[in-house]
Amino acid sequence: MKKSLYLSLLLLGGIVSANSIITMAKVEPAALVSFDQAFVTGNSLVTATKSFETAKVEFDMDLSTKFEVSKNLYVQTNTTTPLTISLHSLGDANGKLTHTNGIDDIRVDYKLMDDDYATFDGTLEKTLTSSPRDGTGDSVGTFWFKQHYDTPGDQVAGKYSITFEVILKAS
Amino acid sequence: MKRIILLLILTFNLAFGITLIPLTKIISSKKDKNIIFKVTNPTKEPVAVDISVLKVISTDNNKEERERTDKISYYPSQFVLSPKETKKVRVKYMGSGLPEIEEVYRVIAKELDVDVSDKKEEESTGVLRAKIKMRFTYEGLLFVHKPNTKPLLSLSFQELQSVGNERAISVTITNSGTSSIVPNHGIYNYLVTVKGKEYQLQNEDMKKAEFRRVLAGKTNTFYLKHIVNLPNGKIESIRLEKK
Repeated sequence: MKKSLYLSLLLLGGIVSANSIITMAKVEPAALVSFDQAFVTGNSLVTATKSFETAKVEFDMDLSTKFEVSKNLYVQTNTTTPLTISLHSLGDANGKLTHTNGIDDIRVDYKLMDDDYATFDGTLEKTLTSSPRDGTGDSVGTFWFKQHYDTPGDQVAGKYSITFEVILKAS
Repeated sequence: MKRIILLLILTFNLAFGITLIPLTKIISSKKDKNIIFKVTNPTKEPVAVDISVLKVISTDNNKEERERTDKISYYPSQFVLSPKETKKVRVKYMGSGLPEIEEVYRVIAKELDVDVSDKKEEESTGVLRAKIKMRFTYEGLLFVHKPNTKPLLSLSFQELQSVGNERAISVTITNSGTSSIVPNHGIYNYLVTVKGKEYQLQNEDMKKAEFRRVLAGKTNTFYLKHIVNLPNGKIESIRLEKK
């Protein structure tokens, strides 16, 4: 039982990877936040990029990898494919954030929040320093994507439901 | 054996979150005790918003400590914003007079993780949808003080162990003035004396330094860990010069 569980973990762990980028732009009056998202599933690489015009991106996921849950099970990415999040402050044409009302700086903290099926191992918070205000971006952390299935007998092919809490903080 | 096949349809609705305007506001006159913040929902979906105001009591070691306060009243504290709707939040300073030493408050507009739309797609179709959700929280600042308040900074430092050719120092800044400030290198030159000669730290030296607010009457410590533009030799002094 244990052996098959480990095997299953390795199998699923090896096929899930993701890469997200949150992009920050002019912060006031509206913060522009977007994702570039890429999932690798089985043999297919599915990507989606932001589109401010259509405001909608659809993913066509590979559902071939079904997985039966025999007991409470945690699945996570293998050690070579962590989920990485970066924050970018795009700035204006001169490479500077556009402020009004005397804002000294803007910081973006984020938290990854639990979902019914997906949790992240711990909470990360990161402050944007002044250095990425030229638009070069700032990697804020790498962590392991982790899913939790707790209903014995379920078959799952993978479900990704993630909530980002982005905090824009005047300092 | 219960079998559920989860069909994965991942949709990403790229909608900008709520906004809080203005992000900073100053009350420095008795006439201005009543102020308004505006919260806007620019998205196509309704969102639930929670408003709170907390007093900032410390930022030591870059950790902001806050506490509840009865010196600020605000209304409303929770509401649902329809798509494209803007609501006014009325904030009032309840103190009898303006404080001699600046008081700093966080005005927080938090998008709640509650679905207030009427859509019940998942229940009706039986198809589970995976989503990437963005929830925004704006943390604005409200400063309350008498006119003509000023920060007054003094500095102490300690050289830390260097890594490679990068020197590192911790800088502790005490603000004995009457208003707070973020003492970043956009506002101040950091002038360092080595072997009797003064050098100005460059942007490159400030890489990844996180300057946060130093409240009036408080202290904060910052770390400069990537100093590459100083000659060898003991750092004799550091001083701040307003740009």
